[in-house]
Amino acid sequence: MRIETMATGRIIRVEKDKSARRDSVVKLFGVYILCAVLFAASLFLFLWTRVAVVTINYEMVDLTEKRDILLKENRELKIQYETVITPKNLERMGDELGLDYPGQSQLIPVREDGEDTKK
Amino acid sequence: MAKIQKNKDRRRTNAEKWLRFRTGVVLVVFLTFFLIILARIVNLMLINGDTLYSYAERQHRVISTFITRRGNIYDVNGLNLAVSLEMESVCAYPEEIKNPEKAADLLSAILSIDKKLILKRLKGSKNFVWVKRRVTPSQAKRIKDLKLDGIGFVKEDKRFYPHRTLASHVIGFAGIDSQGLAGIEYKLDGDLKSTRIHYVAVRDAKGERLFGTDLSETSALRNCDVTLTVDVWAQYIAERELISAVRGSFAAGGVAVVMDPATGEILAMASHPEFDPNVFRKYPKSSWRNRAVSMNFEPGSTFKIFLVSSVLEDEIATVEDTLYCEGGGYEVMNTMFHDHGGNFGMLSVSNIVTYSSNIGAIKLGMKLGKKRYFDYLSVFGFGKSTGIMLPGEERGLIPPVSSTNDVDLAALSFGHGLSVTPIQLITAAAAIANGGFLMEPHIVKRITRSDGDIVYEAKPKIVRRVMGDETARKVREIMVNVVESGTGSGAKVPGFSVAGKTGTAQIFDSETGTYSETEFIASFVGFIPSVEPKLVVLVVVDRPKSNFYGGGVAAPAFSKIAGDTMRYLKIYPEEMLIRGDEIRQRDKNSLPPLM
Repeated sequence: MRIETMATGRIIRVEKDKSARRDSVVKLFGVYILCAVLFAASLFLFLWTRVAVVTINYEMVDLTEKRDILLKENRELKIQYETVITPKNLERMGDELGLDYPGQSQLIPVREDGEDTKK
Repeated sequence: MAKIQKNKDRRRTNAEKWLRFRTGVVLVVFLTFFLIILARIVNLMLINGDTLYSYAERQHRVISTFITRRGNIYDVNGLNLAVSLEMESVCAYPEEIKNPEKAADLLSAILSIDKKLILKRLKGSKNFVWVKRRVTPSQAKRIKDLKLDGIGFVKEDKRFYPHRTLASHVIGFAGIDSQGLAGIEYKLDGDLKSTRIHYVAVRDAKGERLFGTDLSETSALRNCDVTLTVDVWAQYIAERELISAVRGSFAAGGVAVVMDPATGEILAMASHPEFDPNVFRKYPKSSWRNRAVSMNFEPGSTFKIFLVSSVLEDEIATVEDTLYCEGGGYEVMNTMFHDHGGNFGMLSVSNIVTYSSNIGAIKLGMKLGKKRYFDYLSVFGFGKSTGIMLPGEERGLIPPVSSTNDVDLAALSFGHGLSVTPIQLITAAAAIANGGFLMEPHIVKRITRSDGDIVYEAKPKIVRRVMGDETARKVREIMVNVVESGTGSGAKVPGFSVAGKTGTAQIFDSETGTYSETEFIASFVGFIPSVEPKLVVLVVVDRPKSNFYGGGVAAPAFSKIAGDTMRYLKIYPEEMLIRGDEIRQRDKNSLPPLM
């Protein structure tokens, strides 16, 4: 700031106006930059979430496929198990092992209520 | 100085103007671009929006088909009786096959199909042909490894019955396209059948991946599973003993039914000859028939329990009243009737049933009168469908009362001259067991949608009351005598008091117009225990060649079925429970005290 220009009140006012305008431009520029950064950040956030959704979708598809395979396997194993433990098979296996149903004298039924009371 | 300052001001002014100009140019350029972009957006979004949207839809969305698996059939404990397995079928696109000869050669070796047959299909004019449907996983893998042009695979469901012949007549079977053809599979095909829906799914740029399309809420996909009242073990016991009785007597077939008299639930329904629904085509069609609901037969002496029930309920006679049984022969309208168990003189009403006197039954029938007797037959549900959820149920045949003469009434009194089905017979017998209530028999316990909603749940349904509690008790006591000292001694179950009635009916020969002297239907219907019965069991053996009496062939089968089923259900004789209590008490006393 030059002293000679400070001598007249008019020049000082112009200098003040210019300085205020510059400050406001700087502030405005700052606001623009901030807006731009916010815009970029929100754009990034938007894109990031979109990409994340797509990625999660892919993961879901993969996991769903794996789940379906496991469920199918589980189902088939259950059916296989039930096929093996059919009454006919169990009785046949029992026969092969020389097992027989217990006679009435070999059975001691226990009342369900655990009390020695008649049903 | 002032000039220098002026020049500086001018330069600054010029610089500012230049700056404004450049800013203006940049603004205009940006504005222009912005306007261009805006115009393009307007063009894309508003003017061509619909068209472009449809292009995008077409690119990212695909119409996909989802086929649900055919519903399962379970036993009462949730064990699988009928399931659908995913299998692969081999198909061909003849136009794409470069070397049909080589392809046929390779496929023939793996699939064990005649090469000429495959070649004929591969050289045909159709765009798509089946090579073999539902191949084994190992066959599918071997064919895939060949990487043949024009040979593809389609995933299909195959119905599988893990228990093979068990309850096959109840479950029935489904055809190659998973359509129900017999039994529950047929009757409830509408609930069980697989459903197919088309839906829009999202795919990626490669056109492969489908993003999470949730179909769980799609109502069209809610096919049903069916839970039966049949218990696999009770069914097995019934089938095992029925087969034993049928084979042991060289019979043509048979039926065994186990019912809970309190609810009308069928625990087991066995029919012989048997078949395996996995390979049902390998068995004769006659073996597919569920005789428990479709067999019309003359019940013979088992029917006397209904006659006596009617007589006692109408108070025509008491249990102790005696009738003269004519020494074994009795003529009605020039037709001679005989007793087969002996030449009886005076018999009480109770003993008429105990010793199964036909003449005594005829006299009781005459006393009751044909109108009342026919009323009771109708009340017991004979001549009508029981409403059980099984296909092919017969109604039996009760002759019209108007055309019935005394000879017919005499025959009807001991279970001839009419026909019933096993399910009718056991349902009516259950009414005696439960104190006089005719229950609607049911074999389907529950129908559940795949999302867990219960579509149908069977509840015990009383059709009507057919007799008073006191009458039912008296008839049960008479039936206990049948087992204790009468024709049904083979039906005894150690530890239990059993009530029952034997039946040996001659089969009517339509060719000669007379009853056969060599062909019979042996039957036994009974309850266990006799007081507050838990089970009603009916055994019918069709045309036994040896030991054709109901007491000889059907009663022992009843004994095994009833005894083993009671043990399976953990219903023990009271004396066993008391012994268990004593042993446990003894052990309890001998246990050392806790520290």
